[in-house]
Amino acid sequence: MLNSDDPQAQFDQPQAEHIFSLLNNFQPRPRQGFNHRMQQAPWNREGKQFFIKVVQSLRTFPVNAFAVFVIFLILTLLFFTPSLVSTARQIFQFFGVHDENSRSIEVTSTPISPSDTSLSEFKFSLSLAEAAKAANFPIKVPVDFPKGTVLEGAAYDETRQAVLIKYIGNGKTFLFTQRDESSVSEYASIGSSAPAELVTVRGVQGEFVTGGWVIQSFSENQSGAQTINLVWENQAGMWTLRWEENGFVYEIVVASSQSVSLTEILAIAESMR
Amino acid sequence: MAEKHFSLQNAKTFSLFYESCHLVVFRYIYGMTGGPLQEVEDLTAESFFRAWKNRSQFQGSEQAAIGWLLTIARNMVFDAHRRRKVHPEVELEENWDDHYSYTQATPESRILEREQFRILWQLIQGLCPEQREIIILRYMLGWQVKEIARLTNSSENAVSVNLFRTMKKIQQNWPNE
Repeated sequence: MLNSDDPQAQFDQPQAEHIFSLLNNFQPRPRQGFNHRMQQAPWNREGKQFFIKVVQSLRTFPVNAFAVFVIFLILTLLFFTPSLVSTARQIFQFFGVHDENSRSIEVTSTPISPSDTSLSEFKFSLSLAEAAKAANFPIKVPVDFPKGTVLEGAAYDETRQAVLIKYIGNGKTFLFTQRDESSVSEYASIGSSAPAELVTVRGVQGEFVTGGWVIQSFSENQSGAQTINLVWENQAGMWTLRWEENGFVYEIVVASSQSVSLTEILAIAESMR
Repeated sequence: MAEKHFSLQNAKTFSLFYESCHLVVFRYIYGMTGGPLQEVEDLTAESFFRAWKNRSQFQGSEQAAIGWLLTIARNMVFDAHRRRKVHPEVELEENWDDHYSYTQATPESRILEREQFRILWQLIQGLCPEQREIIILRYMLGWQVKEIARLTNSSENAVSVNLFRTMKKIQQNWPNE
């Protein structure tokens, strides 16, 4: 309110109250565009924070793109380089993976699959009790086998501290291996490109592998020792289920001309007592 | 009596806080800079953005929150002055009187009032920032002396004395005729 009835007098010498009135009457407001702009303020789009962070991260796109490219390159190398695939498997799985798809073993060595037991000097001449005694650890055997499958015999491999048990029947050969987890894992290795599926066996993580080592050729070195040259084949008619339990590594290798399913081998493994 | 704690952490609370005091901040910056409108809006927006960014640092009552926000705005205005981004001699916006409530009824009296305000505005913009701030807070925003003292970190007596001297200065500088 103006303090005087005479505006001219206030114009010439305004009093404090008049100055207050003049200022108090001026109440500027922002334009409409400002209000629209502030509707996009961070506190009004809290729910969109994740999206905003993604958008903000794209501002450093060249750096991110380079990082993605490097990761992609590493993954490509891992997937397509046998030795790197082998290394990756060694990191993520406790089972041995050979760094190539071919290898050589001496003829007198332990059989690596049911099909080549005839080539070794191994004789499955022990009973289960004798094998357990030789190994000096309790062995687990399957109690629920398909009808017609019979025990051929057992053996003890001192080199690997492993018990081997062989069953045959219905056109299938089953080779069971039980060994201490600290023993050498070389013979348990699979080809670097072998398809391995992680499965749950007896409540622990295991691995189901399709394929096996097949004989490619024989050779003889200067000292006369014979060597078998093996190559890994995914269609070799062999299936392997492997797992680690209570300090032992168990392996069931099935050789058959017919197809063998994971369910079938899992059922056998679950029945082991 | 202890002041009720006021939190700005929550987006909804901050939004309500913005709604309740954005005009205060806008008018404070307008008075301190004298315009132009675009710059006032930019500084107002930036004040709230900074407050949002640093909201975890604030603790206190709602009144203290307004003071904290005006301190942010104050620092920005002073920085703008130092960088010469704000020009005290800036003229009023063309349609400034759209926001002015005339107390005079007749067209002739309104012309006089309009001219009075224009002169007053120029005199205020010619003051040093500290004096201008006291005038804006006291007469444009209607703050109490003790509230101004709290914001400017000075005593109530100092504010009163400064206010009196500034008013005298405006009156002395008021052009005759």
